[in-house]
Amino acid sequence: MPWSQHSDPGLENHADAPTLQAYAAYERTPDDATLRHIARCPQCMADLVSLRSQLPARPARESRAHCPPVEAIQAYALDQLKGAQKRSVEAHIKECLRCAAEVAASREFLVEPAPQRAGVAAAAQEMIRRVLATLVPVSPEVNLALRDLSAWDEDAKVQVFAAEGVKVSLRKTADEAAHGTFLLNGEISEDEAASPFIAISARLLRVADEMAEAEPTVVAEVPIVADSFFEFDHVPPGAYQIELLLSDRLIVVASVVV
Amino acid sequence: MSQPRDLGLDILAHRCVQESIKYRAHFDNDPHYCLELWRRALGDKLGEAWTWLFDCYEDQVRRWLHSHPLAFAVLKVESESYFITETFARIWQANERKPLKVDDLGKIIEYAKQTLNTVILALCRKQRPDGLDDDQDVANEDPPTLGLSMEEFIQGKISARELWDCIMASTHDALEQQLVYLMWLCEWRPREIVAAFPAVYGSTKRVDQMRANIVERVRRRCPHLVPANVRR
Repeated sequence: MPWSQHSDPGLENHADAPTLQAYAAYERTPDDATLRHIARCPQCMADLVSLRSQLPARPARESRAHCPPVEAIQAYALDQLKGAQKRSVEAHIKECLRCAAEVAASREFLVEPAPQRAGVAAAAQEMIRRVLATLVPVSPEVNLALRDLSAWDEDAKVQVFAAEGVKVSLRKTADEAAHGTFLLNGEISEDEAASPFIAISARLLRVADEMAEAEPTVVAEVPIVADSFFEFDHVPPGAYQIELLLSDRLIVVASVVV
Repeated sequence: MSQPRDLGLDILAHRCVQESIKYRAHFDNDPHYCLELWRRALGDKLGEAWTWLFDCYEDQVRRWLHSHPLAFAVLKVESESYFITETFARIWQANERKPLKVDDLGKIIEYAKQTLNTVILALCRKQRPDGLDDDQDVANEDPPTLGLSMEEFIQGKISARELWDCIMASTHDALEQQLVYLMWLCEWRPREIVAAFPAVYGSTKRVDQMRANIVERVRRRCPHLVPANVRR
């Protein structure tokens, strides 16, 4: 089936034929903007792949001429090879330091847990960034915003936390639907200086006895509405953490006592 | 709530990004939105879906790239965009040869990550740092060796796998591990290493000294792997 045409207006300026040909043959890598266009544009990508299929494979360095293809090395690293193919790659790896190193690097990247990685960039790149919010004084405008959510309760308790230009306001009120429990309403607001984000989900975690050093357990997860509001209901008294998942980071309110 | 199949591409892609972020943060997530986007791009071969797919996963591939143990080296040879584009090109090419299965999001994401790994390894095998290829002095310089001949490997006296593990275990810090990768996997010569990382390694003399220290530690740590007459 042919690839259907796209309608993205940003994709009108296609890579020209000489550029694509030189890139397909690994003779000259285009600039970053052209590369990104080729990757996004189905027409240019189809042309690139078609050109590549007509060209001979790019030769490896002389010292690697007898090494198995990188795909075979990777498959060996992932224990995906069987029978004669496995024995053949295994025999080569016993003799070839470079292929042994490729197996190790592949395992480190694809299999092993993050903390063992050697690279400078390390594993934090894979995980979402965690930011700890700190308690800050309640300002009048925060209270106003919370009052707008629902009728103001005289007994309401408000706490405000801040992290990297983002403010998280929490209000605790008695949950009339379940005796002895509470409603936790939250609002996220941002400073002008804060980097733009999409607010996705909020999670409430119960913190066990601090002495027990147990990991907090998730008790509820709710969507953040309109990039700002979230609510946990039927929350029994106790110690909690709140995690707010934004598009570029996870804001952690480490200590919320209900 | 609308089924993923009923959603327009823009909404589908937006949900895909959100669910991917939830996945990375270990929040509850629904893989069906992402799977539907992959299905439309690779199964139905909708060009617009391909563009959305790229937009959704470009950052993910970039993060993988930077977490690769060879990233520090290969990014001296080609830009981020090269590795991202090559990864998508290989996925496209593989799907052309034989349609990829898109019924398990974990597997398709794993496949994409493995594809990036092959792009990185292939580049290490084929290209040296730019600008030094034409330098005749460098071209005539032998790549650093451990002082072991291929015959010793072939005769089965030494297992390259054991030796590599021993070399890595003998390094003291990330800088030495990087040097080990540069010298014995990427086959960069000392002058190339210094040219690519002047602030880190300073001079070829320092590279040689670091190399000698590592070899000495390997020899002490695993004497059965490295003959005593090894060049230090």
